[in-house]
Amino acid sequence: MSDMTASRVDLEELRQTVADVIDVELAEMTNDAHFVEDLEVDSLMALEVMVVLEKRYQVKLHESELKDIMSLRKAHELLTRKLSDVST
Amino acid sequence: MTGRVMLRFAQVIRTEDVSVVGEELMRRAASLLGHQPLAEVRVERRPGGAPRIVSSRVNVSLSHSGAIVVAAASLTGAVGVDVERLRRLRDVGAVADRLRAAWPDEPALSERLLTHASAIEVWTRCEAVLKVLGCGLRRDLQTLRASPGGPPWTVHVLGLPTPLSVHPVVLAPGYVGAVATTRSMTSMHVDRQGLDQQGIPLHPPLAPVGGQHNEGDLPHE
Repeated sequence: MSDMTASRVDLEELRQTVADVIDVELAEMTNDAHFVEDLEVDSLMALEVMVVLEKRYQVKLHESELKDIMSLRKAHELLTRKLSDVST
Repeated sequence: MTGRVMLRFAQVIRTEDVSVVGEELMRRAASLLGHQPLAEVRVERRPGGAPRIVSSRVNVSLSHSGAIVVAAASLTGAVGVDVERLRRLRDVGAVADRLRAAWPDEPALSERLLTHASAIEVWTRCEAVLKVLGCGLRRDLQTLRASPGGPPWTVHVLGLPTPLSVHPVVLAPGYVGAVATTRSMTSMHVDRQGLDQQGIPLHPPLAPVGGQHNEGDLPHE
């Protein structure tokens, strides 16, 4: 089990991680850029984002939760919530 | 009841042409399969973006990746198609772990045989099924379960009384794909669409497609 806490979901690190996976410039990865509509993320890329975030943050993500992480801000919120659940 | 599926695909140069080309491919496939004049075939979008043909029994599905756009049409139930350009995955092992939920007996996902290409190919099967279900990747892959063997693959879906049938699709070098239907598929007709007469720029002809043509089974233009 991870010892991470919610405060350790660093937004800038998350930005870098997701940008690396979907291969976009950091400047394009704004907090509210929609992964599909703005950054042209397809389903396979979305699955890649999910598995990379699972490993990095040691949380379990379900495919049905993908709709909740369609922007950096949403992804940060979900990870923060999940890690908070783990730590409580 | 068995079914036939028509696939039409094109190669585009400019990404901004994808939606126009895709709609044209769907219209032409629906026109041929439904014996409806092309001028009368209209495409509209369901909530969520999936395409449908207005006032027609023909079911359609659309996919694009890289330079390839492909449309599938079926008269015998829902159809889903997916094409993916082969590329390097960030974490192929983790992606394969996910795919094994739906394809637990797939040798191509085994540690010994797993490659980026094999993972992407299995992914296209999942995506084709999810398109039939009309939900995209909003459904957990654990709710799908492929029987051992194939192709074609038989996929049981939690909550559906009858399984889906999934077939591989080979369109061009460097791409993999799959098509899923609610019926057992008896034939698949694959055409490369020459849309250059419509003013849409295309690359030179693609390499011949092998193994899936069933000429004469369906009407030609």
